[in-house]
Amino acid sequence: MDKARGHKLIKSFLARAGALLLVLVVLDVTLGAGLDYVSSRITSGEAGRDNYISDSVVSDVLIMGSSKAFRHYNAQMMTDSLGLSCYNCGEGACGILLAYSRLLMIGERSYPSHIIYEVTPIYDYLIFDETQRALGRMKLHYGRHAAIDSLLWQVDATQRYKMWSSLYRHNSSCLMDLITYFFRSPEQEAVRGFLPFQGSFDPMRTQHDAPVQYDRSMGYQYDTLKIRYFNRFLDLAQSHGSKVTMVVSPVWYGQDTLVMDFVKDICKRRDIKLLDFSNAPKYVHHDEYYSDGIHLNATGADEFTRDLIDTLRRQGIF
Amino acid sequence: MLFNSFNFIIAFPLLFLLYYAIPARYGKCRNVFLLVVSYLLYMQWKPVYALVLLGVTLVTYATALLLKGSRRPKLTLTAGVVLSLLPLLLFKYFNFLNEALTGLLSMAGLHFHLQGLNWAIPVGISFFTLQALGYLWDVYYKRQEVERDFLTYALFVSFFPSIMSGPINKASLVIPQLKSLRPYFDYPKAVEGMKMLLWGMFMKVVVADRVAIYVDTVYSHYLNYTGMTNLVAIILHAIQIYADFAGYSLMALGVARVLGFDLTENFRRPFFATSVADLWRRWHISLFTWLRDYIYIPLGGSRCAPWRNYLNILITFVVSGIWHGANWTFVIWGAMLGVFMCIEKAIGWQRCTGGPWVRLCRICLTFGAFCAALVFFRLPTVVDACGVYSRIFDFSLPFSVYFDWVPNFPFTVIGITLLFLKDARDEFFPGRVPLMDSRHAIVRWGTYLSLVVMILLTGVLDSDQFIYNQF
Repeated sequence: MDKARGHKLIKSFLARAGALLLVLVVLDVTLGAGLDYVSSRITSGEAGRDNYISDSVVSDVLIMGSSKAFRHYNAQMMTDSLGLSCYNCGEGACGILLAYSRLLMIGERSYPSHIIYEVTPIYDYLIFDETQRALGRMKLHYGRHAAIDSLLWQVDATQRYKMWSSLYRHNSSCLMDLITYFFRSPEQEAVRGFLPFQGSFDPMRTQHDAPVQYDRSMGYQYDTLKIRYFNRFLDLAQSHGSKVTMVVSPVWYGQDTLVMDFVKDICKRRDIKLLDFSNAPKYVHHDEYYSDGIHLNATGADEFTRDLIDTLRRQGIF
Repeated sequence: MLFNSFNFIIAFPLLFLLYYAIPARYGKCRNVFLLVVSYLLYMQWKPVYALVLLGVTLVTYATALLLKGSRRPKLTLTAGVVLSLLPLLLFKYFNFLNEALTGLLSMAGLHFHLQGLNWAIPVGISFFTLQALGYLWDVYYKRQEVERDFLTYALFVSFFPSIMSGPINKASLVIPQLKSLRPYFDYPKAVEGMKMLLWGMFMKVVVADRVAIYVDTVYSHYLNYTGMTNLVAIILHAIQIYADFAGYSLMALGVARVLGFDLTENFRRPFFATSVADLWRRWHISLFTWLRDYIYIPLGGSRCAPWRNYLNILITFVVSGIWHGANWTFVIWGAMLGVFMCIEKAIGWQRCTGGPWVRLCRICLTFGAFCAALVFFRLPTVVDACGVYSRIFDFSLPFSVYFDWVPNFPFTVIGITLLFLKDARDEFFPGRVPLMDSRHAIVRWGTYLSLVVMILLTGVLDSDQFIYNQF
């Protein structure tokens, strides 16, 4: 093959590849815009709740944290008992990173007077591979707030470039978003953001969900990124006059107290109240309150919320 | 650097442009460039382990040179093989052998403890060691000329598309391509390579990584799930490992082809195999060709007494198991497949005769046998693997199956269906309904774009895992 013909072929190859890329960009922008429109207008299900939290929630008391926050704190009961509007912003398998980004978005409207933060060590300061799930939720709000964008980049530096693709932002969520938009979500709706686990205790599941991550013999590995955002979250809340209370809700197994040393230290330094129910005798190994080893069921959630309200009042927090 | 990683997607066009910026007449310069790139990519993980790669390359290169004029070639070969195998034995099998030996001696009343090694295994060590050893044996058996040019040989061992996970190439296939004056740019080959990259990426991120979510969920707490759920996980695991490894191999072949090289085909629709023997002609072809040529045939192959032939089969499959990992589960996995193969041979089932229904039944049986053996491949201990088997026979909730409905279930179904349709078309109706190979540009481009959109919307793009990377 002569040199001129070789050059011609490679030029033709690159030109076609470039044309294909151009068509792909057009497709990405148009389909992405369509999906943006759909996802931002969903009002039911998980996506609807996420939209409501980021776009509409204005509340005196916010509950934040992982699935233990989402499933354990009956926000309606708290609203009725405390006489303050209360909303549950907890999210399954997400911790401080999502809580920080949600507080930023809610803060664009107004900051709450009080935040109750459910502490889950693996999601808030220990190394545990769940950050990608938190990213999934944040991707849809990309471009709304510089601090959220940079948070995404710090979890994964390549996100800055991946986010150039509009379709990528809807990765994995697109199908459910389309179904929910056109047919409404088949899931049970949360009340003030709270959705308890239904059903009774499953002992087999509990036995095998034992919290090995808190095995102190293995030592605790702290995640510097989460710790940085834990502090930023508290800075953000306290600088806007939001009073923070840290809570650890009950666990069927009870919980190693050593793992809480990090939070105790932070609470002490920042003058924050810490209410630890994880080893409360009323709940430890009491099957009737649990759905599994980690999560309370609806009965347990209501009972725990009542106990929490009592404690908050007794300690003069409300 | 994994081919499905974001970094590779950025780096590859750059490599492509730089490679083709070197004029074809400077073939040697192109090889130097590829060698440097191969070592740089290898060093991305743990730079110091490039010394292991270099060591194996030097030992096999020198041994092959010495073999040429050696008076005692067998001794030279043995020395070369042992030296080349040392890093593999040390990094991959030391702890396993140590534990096995300690256990054996303690049973005899002798108690001693040798500290295990806590070193990471160099990426691709099993692949490049086998490739280099294959060359050495080929030189010994005079099937391959000694390669005197170190640059060419070093590139053959370290060629970046295949170093991490194969295919395990024969020197007779790759070295002539490295030495010949390649055309400046082979357009059809480059297009073919891009198609392979695209389909391989689809298999990996849309099918394998999505199915992995279900399989990992069930296998990590298999006792919590019903027998039917465990059964579904076993079947899905077979699909996962196929899509993962075949997809990744296809990407490796695609990358090489874009650069103008042909490497060994590694998978040929294995789940349409009608016998276990047929399956191994379609699954990880390069490894089983290697095992056939350098283990099975030197042991006597099938040209011996039947009992000896069965023993040869068993040994070959147990070696395959050990190659996959230093764990008794892999040994049992290999032995199970060896036993299946022996049974099949004994009852004369290796050739498929009969109509389409017989063929369908045999395809299902072969797939079932393969899935059953894969339980040992996946679970970390023999006890866990036996636990999964016993769980399958728990009929307390016979129709209860766990589904992770949204988003995994629909995406899994869509991915597996497309993969099945593509493989079924290639197997039974080759050349029919050509989509990526259509004469009409609109169909071709429509297919490419649909695949990219599906990858972006439904692929698991943040997974940085590849199953065969660990071997």
